[in-house]
Amino acid sequence: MSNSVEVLFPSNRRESITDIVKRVSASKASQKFLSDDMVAFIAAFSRAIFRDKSFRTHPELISLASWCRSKRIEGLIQEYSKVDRTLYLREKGVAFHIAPSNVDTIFVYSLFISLLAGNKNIIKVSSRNSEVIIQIIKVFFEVVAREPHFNFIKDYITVIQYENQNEITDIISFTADLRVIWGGDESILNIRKSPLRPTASEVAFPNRFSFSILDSSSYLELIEDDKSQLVDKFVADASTFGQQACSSPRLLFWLGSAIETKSACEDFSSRIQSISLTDDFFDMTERLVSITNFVARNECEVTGLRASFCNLKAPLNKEMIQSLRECHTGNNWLLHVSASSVTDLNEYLTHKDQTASYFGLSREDISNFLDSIEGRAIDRVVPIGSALNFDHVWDGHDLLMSFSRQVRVQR
Amino acid sequence: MVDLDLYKFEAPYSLNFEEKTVLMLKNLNAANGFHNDNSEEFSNIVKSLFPSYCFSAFDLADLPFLPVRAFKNLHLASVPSNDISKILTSSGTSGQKPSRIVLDSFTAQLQSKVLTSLTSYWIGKARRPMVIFDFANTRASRNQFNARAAGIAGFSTFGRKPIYALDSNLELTVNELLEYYNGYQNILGFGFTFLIWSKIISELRRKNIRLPFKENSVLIHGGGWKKIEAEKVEKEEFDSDVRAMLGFDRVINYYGMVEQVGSVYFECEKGFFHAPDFSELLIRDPLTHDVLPFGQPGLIQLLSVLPRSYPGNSILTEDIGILHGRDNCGCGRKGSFFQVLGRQTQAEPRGCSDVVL
Repeated sequence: MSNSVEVLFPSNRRESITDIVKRVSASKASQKFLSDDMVAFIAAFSRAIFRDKSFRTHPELISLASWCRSKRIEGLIQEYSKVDRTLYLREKGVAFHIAPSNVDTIFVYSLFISLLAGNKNIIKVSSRNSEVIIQIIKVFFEVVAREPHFNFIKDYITVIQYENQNEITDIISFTADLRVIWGGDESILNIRKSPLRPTASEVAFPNRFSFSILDSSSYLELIEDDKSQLVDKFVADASTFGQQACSSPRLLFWLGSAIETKSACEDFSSRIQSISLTDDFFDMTERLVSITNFVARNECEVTGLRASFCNLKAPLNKEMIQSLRECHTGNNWLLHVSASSVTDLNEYLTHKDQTASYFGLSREDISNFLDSIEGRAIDRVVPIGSALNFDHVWDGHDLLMSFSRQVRVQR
Repeated sequence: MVDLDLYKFEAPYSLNFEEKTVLMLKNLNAANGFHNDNSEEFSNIVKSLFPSYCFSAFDLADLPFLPVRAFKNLHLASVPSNDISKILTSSGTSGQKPSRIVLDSFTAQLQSKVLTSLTSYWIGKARRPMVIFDFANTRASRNQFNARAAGIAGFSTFGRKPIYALDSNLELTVNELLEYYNGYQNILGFGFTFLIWSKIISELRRKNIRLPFKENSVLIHGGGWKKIEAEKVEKEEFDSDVRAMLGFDRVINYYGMVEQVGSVYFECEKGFFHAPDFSELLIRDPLTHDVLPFGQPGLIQLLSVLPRSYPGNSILTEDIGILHGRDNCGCGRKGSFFQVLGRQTQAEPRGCSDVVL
């Protein structure tokens, strides 16, 4: 069977993609937008993760479980029940999700939002068989085994793996009403070679770049404990997923006078350089390769080349920031630059820029910052420490709305 | 700039470590000064990553080094483009950009002079009938050479009447080979380890053919252990298959890379690669880059006095090796002797750019 794929859920065997696609599209979809059954299943998934202590070694699973705990989902429901009553939200039908290989948990966020929209889902996960993916699948099986009334979910979730076969992507794409592509400009272009049905739609998440903005005088005023707390939050944002998530900060803008920015940046750098991380948090060879690439075009002051974080400092210029976007491939290194005000950043930003995580900015500063941006840049502004927190509004899309149909009723 | 007067080309393993270090430091400090003046990229890298280096290191460990992949990502040249006479490229594993090494005639001649000095030390000066275990069309255009073509061109100076073992359809030229073997004595064979193993030997085995044993014949092979290693082929197994199937009396392996052509590392009778007077190596910890003592596995850093047209005198490879000692190998030759264990395990391909499809 050349068209066979590895099914991870709801079965655990090889199956022909044609059969899968037939089965998924033929199954009766009885779940509506934000159905109670779906909400209950998602809450059960969250509970199952919290229950098993062995998952505590996977912080990304804990973040996932807290994002989908029942209280949070109820909040989400609240938000959407306020939607104008002339608008009825309904499922799209079959959703095809293509998960990235850098962030193992992302497919679950994408899947759960799609479940809440009432869609049936086929999810292609990375063939790399990561521990986290294996654990997630195990939890799906456990939840269904523990509470058999969740059996209906098997019609809604099909998780598969396959390698580089455009024919398979063709078959699924032409069945799907919605295609969701997580990550990778090249992959997106490649997947787009497989046509969708005329009525289908697509949401794609291309390569993005993220940075932090810190107000230097606010930083310098912090007491010792608050400084180290901020540093810990930043380290969590930057080092999780090997600094390779779209929202991982790679560049820091220090705002303030020359004296303030210099001393704030130096203090911060020396703190993150001395933090201890376990070895496999980054790959030293990859770090050296990407830093060499970058400094070949941009002379920098480099400290902590082999430390937990490596810090590069250089005077701000536009070409350098662009070159950073091209050279940076993760592995815990940062470029620090200074600017006098948040409204000076506009000229350095591009459509690639996604998350600005901040410290010491007032509501007014943020508003001025967003107003100063010309063109498409920045889809998220969050406090440092929340850069990786998944939000159902992502890359400028309200995912729950994008994954469903809005039926307009006029009287 | 490269001071070669003190090297003995007819005896390329004669300097002890102290003597070699003095020459190496003198040449590499000078070479780095030249690259610094002529390659903006190199100069930026040294200023940023090796700020305390003042072109006067007193210790080999203090010389700056470039990660080998810099030659894939950057255009690194220390001569104006008019002076470039040859471009070497690595074979490039799938999906990766190949390395591009630019040579001017000075560097190319130096490489060839040193390779000749080393090879004639091992197999003698005489030109021998030569069997090239590769495709006839591997030699591409006149001034663009990939690693395989560069190797063939380099060792071909020791051969005459060359015959290729594979035709352009990648078929083994069995009849021609048998005829050649019957017609000539003292044959020199050359080829890439992986190709010899995966194509030539396996093809002969499938056809149940053994080439006749030739006395005084020698096979030189190198490169491609990275691929073969996955098949867990032992050196002894490879050597005995080469003797039995290809009929070679002597088998000599060498370690080298396209980024430092010429000053290659031949394997001695005791099974160790040897640094000749023109090159040296250090083993570094993969995480801290500290220089490791003898016997500990780490990343291989290669030093060579030859590169002038490109800043490739000191390269941190992604190969893992063990340095066993200096000047005291059981084979009696001077120089550092080492083993190559294989490729550093590649980090998982990650980043937003790889939804695997």
